[in-house]
Amino acid sequence: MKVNKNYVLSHFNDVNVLVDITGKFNGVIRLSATSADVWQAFSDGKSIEEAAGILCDKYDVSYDKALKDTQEFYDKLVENGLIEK
Amino acid sequence: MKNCFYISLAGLTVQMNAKHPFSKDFCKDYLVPAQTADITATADDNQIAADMTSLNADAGYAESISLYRSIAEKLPDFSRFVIHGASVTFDNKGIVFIAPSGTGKSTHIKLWRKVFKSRVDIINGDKPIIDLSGQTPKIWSSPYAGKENWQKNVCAPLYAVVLLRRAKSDRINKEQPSKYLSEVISQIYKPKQSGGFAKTVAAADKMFKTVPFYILECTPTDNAVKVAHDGLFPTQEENK
Repeated sequence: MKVNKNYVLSHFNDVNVLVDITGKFNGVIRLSATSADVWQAFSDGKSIEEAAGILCDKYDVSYDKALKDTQEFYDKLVENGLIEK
Repeated sequence: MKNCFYISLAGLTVQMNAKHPFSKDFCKDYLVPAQTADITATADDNQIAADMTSLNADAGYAESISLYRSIAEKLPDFSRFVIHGASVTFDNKGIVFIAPSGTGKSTHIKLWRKVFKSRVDIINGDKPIIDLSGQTPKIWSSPYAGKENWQKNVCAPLYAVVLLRRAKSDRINKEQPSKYLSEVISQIYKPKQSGGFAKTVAAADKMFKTVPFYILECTPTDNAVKVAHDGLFPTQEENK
């Protein structure tokens, strides 16, 4: 997968946001702490399975649940052009 | 370079590698003798060509904009960033009113000047610089001041950031910037170079740790200024 480098993960005023630094999309996308972790994992070149593993290590969640949520988040990112398959 | 010159901007020395004489004249209030520079600004020929078309600007003006972009890219390395806002001082306290173009920022600061006269000084009408490099957040002017070209080469401690919105009546409220992230971030210059935006966000985050944020819903009237003043300076009502 290829993360859209125009979107930068930022921590602003205690909120995780994805910002399009080209300014084409002028809004911001708010991310939960877990979504921010998954985005960071994808940005670091990790796979969906590896990202789910990171969530399991960090939070009290089963691998199956983490994998399902990570897959759903990945699908949304692809749908919105933030990740290329 | 033939028209290379130096300016002092936001407490930094900038070497301006210009080709057109317009850029030097545009920055005339900020010129300093040649010296070691903190930032070297170079215009991008492709950007100049694009701006000449999109803004219907001549080459000199387009170059000056490109030079400012070059500076804005590097300011986060010095804990500073460009903000799109109209800024004034009231009794030497800096206030920046941010909003998308056409909301009425210039109209509003003009009214501050009309209502409070010499207690108000205009810092910059369009693109001032926020400076988080010291203990106290500061706001500096720049030569880039919008169509009215309201600017004065000064600096003030930053007292408040105010998001301006047009409304049918006047109201000001202190708010958490996190509730208005899209609107706030869209008015901050976003560097394209690697890591530049992260540094900008770090600086903006630091700014909101100490500088209060307000939403001002307002009409283009003197009353809007009075309401804004009373909200921003609640203990100074007797000075009205």
